[in-house]
Amino acid sequence: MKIEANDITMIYPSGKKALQDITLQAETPNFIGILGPNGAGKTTLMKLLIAGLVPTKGKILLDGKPLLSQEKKFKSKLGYLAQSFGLYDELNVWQFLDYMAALKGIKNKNKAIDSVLEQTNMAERKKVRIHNLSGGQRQRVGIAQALLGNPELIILDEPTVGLDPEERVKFRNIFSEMAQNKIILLSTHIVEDVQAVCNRVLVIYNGSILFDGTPSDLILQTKGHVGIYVSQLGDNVPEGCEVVSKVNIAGGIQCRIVADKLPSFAKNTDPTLEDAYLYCIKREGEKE
Amino acid sequence: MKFFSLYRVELRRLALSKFLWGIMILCLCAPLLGYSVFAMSYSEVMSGKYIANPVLAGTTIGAILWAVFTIAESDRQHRMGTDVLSDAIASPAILCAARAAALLSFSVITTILSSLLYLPYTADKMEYLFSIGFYMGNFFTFMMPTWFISILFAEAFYQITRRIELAVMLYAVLCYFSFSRFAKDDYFSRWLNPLIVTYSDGFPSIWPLRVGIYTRAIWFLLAAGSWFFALLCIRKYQKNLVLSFARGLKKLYILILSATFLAAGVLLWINQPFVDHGPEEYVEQDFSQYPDIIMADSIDYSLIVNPVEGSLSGKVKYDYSHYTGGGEQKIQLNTGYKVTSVTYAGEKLTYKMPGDAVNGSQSLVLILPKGKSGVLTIEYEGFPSMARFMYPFMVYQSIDKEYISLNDAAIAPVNMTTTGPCTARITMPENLIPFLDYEPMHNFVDNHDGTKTWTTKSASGYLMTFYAADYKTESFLAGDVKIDFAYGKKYEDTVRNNNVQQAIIDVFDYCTKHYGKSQYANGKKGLLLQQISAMAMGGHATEGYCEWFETVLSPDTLNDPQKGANNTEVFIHEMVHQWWRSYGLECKEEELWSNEGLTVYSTYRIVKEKYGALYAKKYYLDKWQEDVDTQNREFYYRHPEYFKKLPKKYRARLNQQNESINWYSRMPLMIKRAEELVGGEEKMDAILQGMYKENSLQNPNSDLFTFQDFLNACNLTKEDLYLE
Repeated sequence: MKIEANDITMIYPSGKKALQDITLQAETPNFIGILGPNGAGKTTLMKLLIAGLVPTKGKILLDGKPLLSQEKKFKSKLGYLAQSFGLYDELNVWQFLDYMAALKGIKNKNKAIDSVLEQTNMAERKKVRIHNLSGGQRQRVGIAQALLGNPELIILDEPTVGLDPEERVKFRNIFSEMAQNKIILLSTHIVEDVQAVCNRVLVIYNGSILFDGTPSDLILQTKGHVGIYVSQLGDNVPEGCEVVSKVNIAGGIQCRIVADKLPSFAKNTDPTLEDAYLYCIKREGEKE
Repeated sequence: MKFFSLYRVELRRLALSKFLWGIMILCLCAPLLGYSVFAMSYSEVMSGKYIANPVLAGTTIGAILWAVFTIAESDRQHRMGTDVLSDAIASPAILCAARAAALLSFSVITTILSSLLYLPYTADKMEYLFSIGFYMGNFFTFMMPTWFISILFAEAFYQITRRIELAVMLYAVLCYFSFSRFAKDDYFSRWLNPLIVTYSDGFPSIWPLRVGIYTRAIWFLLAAGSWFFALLCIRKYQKNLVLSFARGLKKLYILILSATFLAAGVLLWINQPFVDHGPEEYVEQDFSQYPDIIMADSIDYSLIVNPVEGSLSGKVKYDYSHYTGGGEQKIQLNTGYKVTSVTYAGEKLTYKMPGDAVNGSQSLVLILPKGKSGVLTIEYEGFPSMARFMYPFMVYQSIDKEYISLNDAAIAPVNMTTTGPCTARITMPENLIPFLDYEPMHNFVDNHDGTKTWTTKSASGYLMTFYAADYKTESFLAGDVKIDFAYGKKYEDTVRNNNVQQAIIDVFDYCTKHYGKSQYANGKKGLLLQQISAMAMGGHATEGYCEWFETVLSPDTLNDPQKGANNTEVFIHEMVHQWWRSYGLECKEEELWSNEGLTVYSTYRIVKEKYGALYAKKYYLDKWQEDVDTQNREFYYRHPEYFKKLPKKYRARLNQQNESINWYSRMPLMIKRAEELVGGEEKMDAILQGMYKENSLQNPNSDLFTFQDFLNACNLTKEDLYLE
């Protein structure tokens, strides 16, 4: 499978420009992490890629043909988890997945449902009414429906929200395994997840792609721009620096910063993906 | 394939909804209201009370409940965000279709449950009048389709507006239309609260069911058309209504389906065959404008009834062997019929049908060629329709395999007549007993194909009235009068158990003793007492003929002696008309004088003798007084100067109301006052006897009897009888 977005711009009827001149391509196998601050356009991009929106300008192609002309075929290959979604509270877990399997037109439904229930650790709760599930369990049901039928393209918008750390790790590993033979697009705020499993990362800011490449390339770009120093309570952040993290230590507060030019008192250190992402956003923000 | 898969899971999903179960339970309870507060049919027959009313209540309330559920359920998908996931993997239109199909299925299940739930009670109450086919037919003619229509409209309104409050508002407007005065007496406009004027217990009620099916079909097509249209409006790609519709138009077949369904609904409505498109009010026709009638030497009618289609085909031959004068003839034929051929002396004759519709008939204009004699043959066929001015309260043109009722131009063309022999052959289902022009037909030929052809020779010029039903007939003597008594077979036990025959004899004895012998005495001519379907409404009497309103023999009536004034005694009333109407003493109709008043008074006297003064006071005197008091309080009655300023339509309605009270309540009360003033009942009986003897039409010199004649006979003035 190959999905392409060529020079797409999305302007909502309210006049808000959500995306501008976005171009990207993804072929199987691919596990793409999409990073960006709130309102950057991640969800809009995902909606465009699931044919939930039509771009104001540009084209989205599936295997070289316009996506909207093969919507039915495309949807049969798609697994999608929205950032916020609803479930039918009157159904139990199994019934809901059966419902979604019918929507997807999955032939061997029972096997497919059992498989995703195992994957999402919901097998024991398959007879529980959705109404009685916790937030995390509902999220797992959401993930399970996205994985149903082993779709070729999986688009996940903040899939691990509400999950405990252990489950989060488990899921990202599941996604990683699945990405061997499909395209997975993962939108998240948790940079660590992207760093752990994605072979490619997109950084979106203000409707534009700031970076499209491997995580290591993004990290590489940031080399020499990440430093640490120890500050005291009440000290100001040095000008031109963005604090990535603060950790209380014996001598004060250890601050991790990114900057175009590190202050002299900061000790240069190896960047992480989070540092790289923040540096990328900071740099773009300064341009504006 | 995917649709059926979706349909199945939607069914299961909905089946788990407590809201749906609540709606279904309320729908099952709704018919209960039909037994009391929500009596929607005008009918007082048992099938009206125990079938029509509960079914209509269930239909209307259920339809609203289903609409509420449909809108709420559609909105819920959007509100809860389940559509975020589902729309990403399936077409919202297919999902909408699957949901609608599932809802329709649940409405079918609810209809079945509802029909089964009330079955034992209905069967128990209706006893021998209960028919399982008719009972179930009502549920599936009215309840199920109306629920379908309601669900489709509700879904359509939601998908078009995508706003719950707007969808509810649009649905409410549509409901209002169905309940508005525009739709009040219109079978076709009342989509939500179907109009059932009346049913019959003893005779088939196919006509109301036929209309019911037809109107449901009209509205189903309109609702389905709207629903298909709404599919085009389903929001996609987060676009607004206009842009979604514009995108939806790419699926041209949906637009074509929508337009086809809507157009079919409108066409069905416009071309409905049940009621003509004539004026709403009766039109006084000026027959002096018609060409003179050319008398035929004889007329031969040949009619074939098709009970399955509810249609009739006829061939009428007018013999003009001795006429060569030619000339235009304007003939009236029922508006439902189409003339297929007109020939004269073996040659085709051109004719015109201007398409006018007045009082239930249309004109057929033809010109007989001058200097040529021969036989004029008119062939016609079709589904007899009813006059709009009579509609909807009387079903007097009806053909089905167990009941036929045809009147005037619905039998054959009128206006053409003969002084010579008039023969008629009528082919119809073999089980039916026919009555033509208020007389039984006796001769028939069995066609051995499930039909019989009945023949008769009538002295009258053209055919006026034709009834045929699965009658039980009896003949007996009431005094000197030979009575032919025909009633529905379902009432056979009732007639026997309640000694109805003796009651008839009693009435004849009373009237003969108090007023004199009836015209039927001395074996001159018999009297046909015929029970007619309740759908024909009211009672009617004419020379040698008296018809009974059907409920006279119903269990409700006969088991409740307190209910006589409006039902049981109708048959007494109609029989009394044999004295106070044609061929008895016939009154000249005036504002406060008519045959009806005399007949009501005599009925009261008979009832008083049979059931006692208390009963007669309660159901006659008090009722008359109440009606008169109501009329006296009526503003426009007290102020004729304002009455004159009312629009014609309202004046006509009030006139009709006043006429009814004047004749059926004020006049008998005035006769009662006269009775008191002349010295009591015996004196009044003597006066009435004198009036009858001297003025009945048996005496060829007598004129129509006026109010002044009555006052003179009583030696009273109008002022003496004035009622405060």
